[in-house]
Amino acid sequence: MTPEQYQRLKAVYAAALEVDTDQRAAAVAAACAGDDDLLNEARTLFAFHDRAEVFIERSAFAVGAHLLTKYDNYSLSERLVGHYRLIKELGHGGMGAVFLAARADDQFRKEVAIKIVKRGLDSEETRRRFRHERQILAGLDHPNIARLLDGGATEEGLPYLVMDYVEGLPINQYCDSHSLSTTARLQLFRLVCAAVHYAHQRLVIHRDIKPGNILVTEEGTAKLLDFGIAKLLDPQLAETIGHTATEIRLMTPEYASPEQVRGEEITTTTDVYSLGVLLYEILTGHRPYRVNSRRPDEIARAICEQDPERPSLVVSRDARSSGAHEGSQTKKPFNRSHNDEPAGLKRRLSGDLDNIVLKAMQKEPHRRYVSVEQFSEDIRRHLDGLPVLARKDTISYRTLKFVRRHKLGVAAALLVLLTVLAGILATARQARVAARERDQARLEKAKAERVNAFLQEMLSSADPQKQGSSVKAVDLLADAALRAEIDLSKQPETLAEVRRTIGNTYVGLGLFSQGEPLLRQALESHQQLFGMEHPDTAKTLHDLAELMRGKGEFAEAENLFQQALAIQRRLAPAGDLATATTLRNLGAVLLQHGKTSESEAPAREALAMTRRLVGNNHLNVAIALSLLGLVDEYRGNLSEAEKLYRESIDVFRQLGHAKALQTLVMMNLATNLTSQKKFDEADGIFRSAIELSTELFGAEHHNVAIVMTHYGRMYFLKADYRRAEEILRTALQIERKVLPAGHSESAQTLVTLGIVLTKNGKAKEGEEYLREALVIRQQALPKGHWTTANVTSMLGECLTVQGRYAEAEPLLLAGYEEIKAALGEKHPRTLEARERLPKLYEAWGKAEEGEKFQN
Amino acid sequence: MSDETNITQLLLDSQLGDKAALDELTPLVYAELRRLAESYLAHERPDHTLQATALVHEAYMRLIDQTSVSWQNRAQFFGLAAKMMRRILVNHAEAHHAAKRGGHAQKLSLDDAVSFFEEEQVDLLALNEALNRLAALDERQSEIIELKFFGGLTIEEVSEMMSLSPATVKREWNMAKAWLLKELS
Repeated sequence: MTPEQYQRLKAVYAAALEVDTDQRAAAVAAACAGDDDLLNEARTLFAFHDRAEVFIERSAFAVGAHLLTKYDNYSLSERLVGHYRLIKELGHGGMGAVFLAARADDQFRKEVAIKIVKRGLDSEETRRRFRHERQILAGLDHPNIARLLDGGATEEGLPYLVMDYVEGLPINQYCDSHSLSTTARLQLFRLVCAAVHYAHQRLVIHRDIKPGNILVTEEGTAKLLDFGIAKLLDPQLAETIGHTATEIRLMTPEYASPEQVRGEEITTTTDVYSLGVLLYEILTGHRPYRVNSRRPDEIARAICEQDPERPSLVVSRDARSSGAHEGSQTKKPFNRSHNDEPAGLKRRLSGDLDNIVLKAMQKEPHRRYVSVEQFSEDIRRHLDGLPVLARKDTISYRTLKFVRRHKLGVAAALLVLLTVLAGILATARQARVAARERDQARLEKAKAERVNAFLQEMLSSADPQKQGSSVKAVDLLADAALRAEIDLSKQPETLAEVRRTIGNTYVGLGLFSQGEPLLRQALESHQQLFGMEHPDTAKTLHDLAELMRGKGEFAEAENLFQQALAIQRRLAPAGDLATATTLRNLGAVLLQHGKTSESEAPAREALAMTRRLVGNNHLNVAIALSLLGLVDEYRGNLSEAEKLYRESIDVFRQLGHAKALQTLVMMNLATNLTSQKKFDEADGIFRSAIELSTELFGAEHHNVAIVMTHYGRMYFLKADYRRAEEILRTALQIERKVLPAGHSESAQTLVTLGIVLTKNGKAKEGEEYLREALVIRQQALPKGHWTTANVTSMLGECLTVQGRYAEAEPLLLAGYEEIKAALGEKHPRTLEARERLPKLYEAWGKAEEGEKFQN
Repeated sequence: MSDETNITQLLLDSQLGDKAALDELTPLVYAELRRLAESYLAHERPDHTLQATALVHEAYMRLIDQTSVSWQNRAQFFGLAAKMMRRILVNHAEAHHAAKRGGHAQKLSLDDAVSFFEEEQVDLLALNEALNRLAALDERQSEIIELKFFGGLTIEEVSEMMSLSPATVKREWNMAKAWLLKELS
């Protein structure tokens, strides 16, 4: 029955009640007006109408009320829940009660805490929260987090959780009752940070950090409790839980962050904030906000608008009024060891600790510490007497704004370290070699050393050994950028150089949008410091151009390279290595931009200039040779290209370093041999390239995946589709793991796998990959680029195989035209795209249409 | 935090349709109802001499800063109390049912709630489900059943609470009963 039918039934019912009982049957029939179903329903309803007279007339309220009193009177104590006997109630909250319990069958009587939903409160919402908390706790195993031991439902179906029983005091009370010194308090607090950080790494945000949820045992072990309103960051695991408004009310408002109060997005920095409030209280014995009302809205306003007093100020007021009557409702007993008397405490807190606490408690999440780990680390620096990140009047926090969390592990952090160091060494070396004057060289070297020293300190303070396997490259870089703003504010030259280096490191990691503001700032500083006509300005222009090239903004990149080149040519008319590098990269971007013939001249000049300056045995020579190889390759001069690649690889072999680049040139050579149908030779080179790159980066690295993609492509061209599918699936698997979704580097793999699957009779699956690749290419490349057109054409083939001819035709035609326009009539890609057309028309039964595409 | 301020805030929220706020209100109302039920029942037998309306109204007065809450909140408060009773009774019936299956019927044999429903010949669990189905067809009717049967209000009180005429409430009540009894047969 639908609500509409029920309303019609109600109308019939009302109409029938209007008449006397003996006329009711007739009235019902009349009201139903020939609707037989309705008539049946109405008749049945009236059949029960009279019998229902006494039905549920006596209210059940009284028995319910009686049950209500009985339930809480007959306490759960001494009852068995699962394998546990309840001993006493420890406390209760919004959702349920927590009991002390012991294993019934355990002679050692190991004590546990059991959280049970209270009867009458077991709404669907509460059950969901319990399930959620259980799910979260099950994933956490840390010495400073109360463990989940068991869970289930009581015989009445009330859900319960069994957890470690922590016998201890809330952290603030523990500190006071043990008269801990400030240092001891900080060390204890860092244990709490470790637990919260651990949870964050497992994508759990606690959201309700407060003294009552952090108990400290007699042995001094801190345990984090109550993940009742925790949030899972992983959307795949997270169950939709409640409503933001609910969470605010479930948590203690004094510790809520502004974003929680406002119902805005919750991130790990929300816990940073609450930890800041907690540290404030542990250090001063006061809550940070002075609110005279207990109204939630007053407290919320204070949280969002009031600036907390500096901790040292709060304790100095204590010092003045000590012994006098205290009016503040936040005042609690606050005991210190002898060396932390109020006046001493003020000195202890002012400066670093004030700044650290207030940085954690910033109203805007992006101005806080980016992670709990960073927060804790800053406390360690303070304890070790090192400079801290938190400063009172920092010059700029803008750099923090572009920090976004990226899941890059230790490997990436090490890569950063290597890149940075390599950059510094190269700077120093180039400075030595290219210097026109000894003084200049010394100056360059000194600058490089200062940058080096700064970054060394930065990176050594984030030694992965010390912090466990959790160093995030991006956090490191953000720290470095921030530190640079602070520490180098009086050394603008070094600051600009550090910005440039960090910006380039972001570029190396493919994080272009993070790198761009740094490089632009560096460029601006260089222009102001030295003017346009200066090697540093030119170098930064070049770096910014490289960034644009990475982003795929080729026109902008070309423009910037030209600007840099013009300056460099004026400064060093005879040419130098920096000029050669700019020339080479200009050639590269022209090639990428589809300006194949224009790219040859700068590439050749780069090669000649480098050889003239430093001889043949130089990285720049190797790269320029391979670039020229690509130019020939793009023109269809395959054997010329082969020769250049081989020459390039010879240089790499003699150099003995830059093996990563060497694998890429080897891959180019193997690909070239594939195009020449020299499959066996190609196979061997592919294998050694994969071997070398696995040796360098490990098996799960995108560089390995790139080579494998081309290797798979060779089998595709050899028409060994089974083997191709196998290799390409492995490559894609690696890429899915190590590259963010939609990364331009996975496009090649997707395309090739897509077409291979089409050949293997799995066109439907192949179509998915091809479409994914098409989207990536369209976003990454300028409109009408031939590699995009190539995907369009392949998608056409895939649709042809599926018999979707009308959809395939426009794709095949457009693809072919665009490739032809970019690469010319004779290019292998053009020919491939062209061959697909007659196949379509033949399958479609329009063979005559295809004739004009036959040779 | 004072409960007065808090509950007013929560009730104002729940008026805006915030179901979650209602869920949170439940424990507060639950605790107050339990306390009052205890004092009301202290010297009485647990039969229907208990004045449901008086009890709930007193709970309401105790929990609410009356001046800042509109009439509709009071109706909602009674609705909440009725829902709570329904939930308590249903949970109890489920537990009893489970215990009977598990062979523990003896422990529960002297049970006022069980004997009440046996006397009234109502299968509470089946009624609960039928009432859920009714709510999908006609929410107003299911609310009337809830307020009167579980919440202990009279026809007149329900009509006042829902701003309907007593005749309408009576007609809705009778039709809903007939439909529910049909569903239970």
